[in-house]
Amino acid sequence: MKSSTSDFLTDVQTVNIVIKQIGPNKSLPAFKRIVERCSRQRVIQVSDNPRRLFHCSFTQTSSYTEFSELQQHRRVFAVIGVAFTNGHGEPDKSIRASRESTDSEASESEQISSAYNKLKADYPNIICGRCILIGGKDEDFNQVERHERLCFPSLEEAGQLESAVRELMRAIYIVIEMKRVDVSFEKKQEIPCPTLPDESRWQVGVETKSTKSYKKKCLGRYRKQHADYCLLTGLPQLALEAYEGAIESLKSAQDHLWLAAAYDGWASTVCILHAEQMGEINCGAFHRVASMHAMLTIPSIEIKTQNGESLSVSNDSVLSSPQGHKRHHSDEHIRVNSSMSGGSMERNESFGNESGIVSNGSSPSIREEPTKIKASKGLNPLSNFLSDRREKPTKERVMENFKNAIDEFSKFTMAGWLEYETVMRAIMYLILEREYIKLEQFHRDYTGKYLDDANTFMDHRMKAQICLNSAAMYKEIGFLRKQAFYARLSVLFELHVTEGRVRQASDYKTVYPVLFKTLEGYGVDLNEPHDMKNKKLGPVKLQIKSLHEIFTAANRAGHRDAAIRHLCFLLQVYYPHLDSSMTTRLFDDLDNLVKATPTVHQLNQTIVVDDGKIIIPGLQLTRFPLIQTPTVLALQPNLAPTIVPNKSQASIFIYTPFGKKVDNSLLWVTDCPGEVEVTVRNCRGSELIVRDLCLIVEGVNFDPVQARLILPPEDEENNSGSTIRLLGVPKEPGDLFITGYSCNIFGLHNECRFVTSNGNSHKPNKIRVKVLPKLARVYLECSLPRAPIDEDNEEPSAEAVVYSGQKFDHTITVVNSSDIPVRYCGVKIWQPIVQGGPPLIRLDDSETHAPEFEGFEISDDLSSFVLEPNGSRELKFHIFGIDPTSTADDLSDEEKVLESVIPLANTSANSETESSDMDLIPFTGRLLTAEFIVRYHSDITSDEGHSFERKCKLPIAVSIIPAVTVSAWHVLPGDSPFSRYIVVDVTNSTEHDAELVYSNARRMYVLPKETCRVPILSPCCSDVTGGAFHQAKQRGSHMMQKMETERLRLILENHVSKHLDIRWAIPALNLEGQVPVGSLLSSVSLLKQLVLPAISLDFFVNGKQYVSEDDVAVGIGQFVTVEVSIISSLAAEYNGLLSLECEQEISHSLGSNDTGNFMLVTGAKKIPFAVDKENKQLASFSVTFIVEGSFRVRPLITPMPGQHALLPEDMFATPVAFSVTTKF
Amino acid sequence: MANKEFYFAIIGHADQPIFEMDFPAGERKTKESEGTRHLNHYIGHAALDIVDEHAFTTTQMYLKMVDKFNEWYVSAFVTASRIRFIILHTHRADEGIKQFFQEMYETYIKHAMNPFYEIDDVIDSVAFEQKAALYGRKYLS
Repeated sequence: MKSSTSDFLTDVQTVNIVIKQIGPNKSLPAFKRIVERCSRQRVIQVSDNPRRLFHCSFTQTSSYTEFSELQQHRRVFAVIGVAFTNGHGEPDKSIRASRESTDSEASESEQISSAYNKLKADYPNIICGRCILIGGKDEDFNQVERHERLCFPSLEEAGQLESAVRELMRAIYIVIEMKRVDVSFEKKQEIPCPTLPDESRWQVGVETKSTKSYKKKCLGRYRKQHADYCLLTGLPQLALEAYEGAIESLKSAQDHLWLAAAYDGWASTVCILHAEQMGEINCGAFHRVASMHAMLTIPSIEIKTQNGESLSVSNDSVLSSPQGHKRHHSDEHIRVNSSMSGGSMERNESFGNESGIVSNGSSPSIREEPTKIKASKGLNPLSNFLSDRREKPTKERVMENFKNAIDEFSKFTMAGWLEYETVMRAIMYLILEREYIKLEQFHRDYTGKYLDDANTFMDHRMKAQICLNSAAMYKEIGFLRKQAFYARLSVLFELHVTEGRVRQASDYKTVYPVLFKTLEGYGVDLNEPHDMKNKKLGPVKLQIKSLHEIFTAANRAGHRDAAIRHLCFLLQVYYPHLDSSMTTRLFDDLDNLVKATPTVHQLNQTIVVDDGKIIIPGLQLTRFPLIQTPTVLALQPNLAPTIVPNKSQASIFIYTPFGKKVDNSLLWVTDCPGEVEVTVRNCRGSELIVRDLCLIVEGVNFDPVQARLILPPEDEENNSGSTIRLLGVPKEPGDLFITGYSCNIFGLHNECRFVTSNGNSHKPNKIRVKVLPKLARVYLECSLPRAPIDEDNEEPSAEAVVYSGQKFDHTITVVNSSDIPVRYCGVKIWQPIVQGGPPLIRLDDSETHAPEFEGFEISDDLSSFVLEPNGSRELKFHIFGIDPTSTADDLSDEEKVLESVIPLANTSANSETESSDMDLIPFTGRLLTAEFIVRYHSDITSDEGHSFERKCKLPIAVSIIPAVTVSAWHVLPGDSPFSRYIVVDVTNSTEHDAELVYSNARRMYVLPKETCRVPILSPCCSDVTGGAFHQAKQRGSHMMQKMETERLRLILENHVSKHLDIRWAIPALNLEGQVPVGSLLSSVSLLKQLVLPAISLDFFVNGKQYVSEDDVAVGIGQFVTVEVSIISSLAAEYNGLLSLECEQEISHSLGSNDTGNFMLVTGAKKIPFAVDKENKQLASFSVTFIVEGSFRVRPLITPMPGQHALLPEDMFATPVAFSVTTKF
Repeated sequence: MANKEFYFAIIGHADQPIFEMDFPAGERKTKESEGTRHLNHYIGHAALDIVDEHAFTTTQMYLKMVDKFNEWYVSAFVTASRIRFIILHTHRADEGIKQFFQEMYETYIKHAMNPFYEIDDVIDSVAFEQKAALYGRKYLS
């Protein structure tokens, strides 16, 4: 059987040598090695000038030898028997049993000798034979002729085997050459007619030997044989001429069978010449590709010359071709003909070149060869006879002769296979000519009849072989779809069931590789990682059907693993295209196969079938389940490290484009479990159980945690998949690459890569995670009780309940639970910002920084220290129940400075519960959260000197229950211009009586849910000048204004907080504390009023200091002396005019109106004054009222020219109230 | 096979059929015709090699009869964008097939000009089917 279409062509110039194993000891592997070594010697160069090549093939069988007279290439010219003596050649076990029956060494040699003689007898027409004896002694085999014995001690020591084979070939060549040069038949009058063995049986009638026609027949047949010898001995050009002579004779003699053979020989010879010229014969498959690559890499032919020199030959004419896919112009044959007819040096490019293979220079000059051939023609009368009348072998003539041969052969049923071989040679010619359209048509027209049911001459196996040959031919020309079609057709013939026979596993073993090779033709690439969204799958229906056929063939052939792989491929790629019944059936088949397989099938491993001829690549079953969007999660906040760059190794460049940014995004830590979040979907209609699902990583040692999933079927509502986390523990530092996942699905081990989410399936998604060395782990413990743990965060948290104004002391312990020292541990507190008063949590003043941390950024930390392995450190802190209504978190950033008190009712946490009538739970407090944040550096540094920082937190939930709080406040004038009363409305929010102690020993009781007013006398603050707040407002930016205001506020807060000490006690609950005045202290408008004003005015009415808001009773027309003492806090002198203005208070609701004309001033209405810090001045007015009512008299200061106007807050004066009555 | 039968397919760039229709229409539901349809797929697919070879070597769009298997002839037409129309037929009807191809080519162009249609997508249009059936009745009977 032919492995390639070109074999049909090369066969006609090849001498057959049958090589067989003989004797009692048989070893197939050793025999195969010998055959292989012999086959390497298939070509020898028998003549240098002209260069002639002699081809032999070493076959184990010979077919159609009955036609060896007709076509000499079918004849067996020699036999080689290969025998192994006992103990040599690694005999097969099965054969050993039969060998044991033999008795002795002597009988063995006899057996070998007789077997060899029998082999020779089987082929009576052989020229010579050889008996290769491995392991025997030469003298033991005397029955075999000496020159035929080739004895070697062992196969390894058979170094002379090749030369012996070449010697045999040379011997055959000499015999054939002798026959070739014997052209005496041309002159003889009576010559015996060469005949086929059974020719007389099918010959019609009796032939008269004396007729001219008979003589022509004899001559023609001799010429035909002569031509065959020419071809076999490497002289195709002469063969061509001889065939022409034979055709001429046989045509006139009407010897159809021999004429067919002569036509075939002629056309085949032309074909060989053409192929040799193109360098494509013996070069394997020609790839029909449009690139230059295929043509430029045509392998050269290596020829071993007799003296052992290696002669490498290649074809220059092909290599010089600029086109890969060579196409012939329609006028090419004319060009070729002209070069032929010219008979010039151009013959190398034309038909009829004696040696189309061009040497690399070590051989004799090819350019000289045509003349040599011409010279040799003188020896051959036939060539002289034909040389002048020779027709040019055009393409049409070659094809015509092929067709003639086929027509003539078709007249003889028993020559059916000969006819078919001629067809294939014609096809080979069309391949060489690149006439693919003609080829396809020719193939269709001429091979169809062999496959027809009516063709009973050929059985189904032959038909299958014909189809296989066609498939191979189509593959050679790149018609993969045609190849698939014919290969599949061959399978149909192969599996054709004749009567009384059932299909065996061996049948399927035969067809499985054939079917497997059709996949390419149907566009199925098992190697390609199929994107599930790929729209261009190709002919899906055909692909499904062919894959299913391959699965069935593999299953029935017993290739269970291959069957599973094909089935999984079908499900993976074509699941959406399968109907439900087929899907169910396929899953059932898969289940049955898996159950029948003893080991777990590894989908990722390559499967080798049919002795390595078929390699099925691994498969990623990504559809079941569909695992997508892998996201590497950072470690939990308390475990997530950050890389702190080494500041000591500062770059020599200040600004550099090469500065590496420290990437803190994906950092895992050795021995700390990491998580990858994936979306898992089950696109199957039934429940899917995924076992042993775990991550696949590269780079560092990693312990994945296996998971087991049971995925419900998807429906319309539930089709978004579920999100799961895959866990694993890195075991060493380095770069970890998360590449994919593995799982056990349907009882199969499946390993898949993660693919990128942008749909580019060819690029695997490799997620890089940096794994840091093992780091210390620190946690916090608190003396406060633990709070319930949150779902999302497993960090511990503490809680506390305090009444507003209460203060408690607690401790927090920082514990290093690892055996790695911590070289820096910094503590800070995150808590609600209070603008005034003590904060919610405050570290004890004793907690400070350790002195050795100069290298660390400790500015944010309240305390810092070192922790030994498994060591701990205790810190003291205070919790103060701040006014729950007054933290800065309540407001937006712009309103950080609280200006007013929010009513207590508004602090209710949930407005919804407020509106509900059923809610009987009273508002009892407010939950504030604060956090201890500890950042710590393990005593480990990276190679670059970076250190690794981790943070741990302890959230503390402080529930503040309002007890006695401030609800409102006012500032009233104090005893003197230098003091003020801060009147604070204090509310008792508890259910019990509260006792207040303020201003040293003053006491007051507040009833439950009642408010009382507490006056606290506070002196004015002289540290802040009167115009300071005004000046602060004049600053350039909002931020500067804010900062200056805050600075002033802090000065005032310090001043006021000394006096604002209101303590409360609730005896019933045995509670006591301090009224939180943070809201008050944060009120700038309040504090502003405690600034000593620039000008203070003190009133004396009728010589008596006016201290209170009590009205002064006067009658209409009664004169009152109002003296005003002008006091300045300004360093510079201030000049101005003081006057009085009057306004009448009509009612509380209507306010007052300016009624200056109701008050009469006698004497100076405006009194000039000049005051400074040291000197005060007294101004006296005499006033009377002409209308009864309530009047308020206010001072009015008009600045002198050059003085700046006073702002309202720069002047402090209590207006004097007069109650004017008619009677007194 | 006494009746004239035609199987028309438009083949995309990845050898995938993007439109298929049997003529005479309405006889395709039987099991036998399903089997025939399957055989048609194989024959049509195998013919694509020779269709492509013709398309490389000729400038004609209509390639006449390019292949044959058993009783099925294969005629082909290649559009400018290398979309292949093939017809499997049991009787020679070159002129009718040529006209059918021309009409279907125009119809295909009109369909392909729809901005919502992407080349190589399966043609799922009632109007296109009706047109194909109309031209099938007109030219392939």
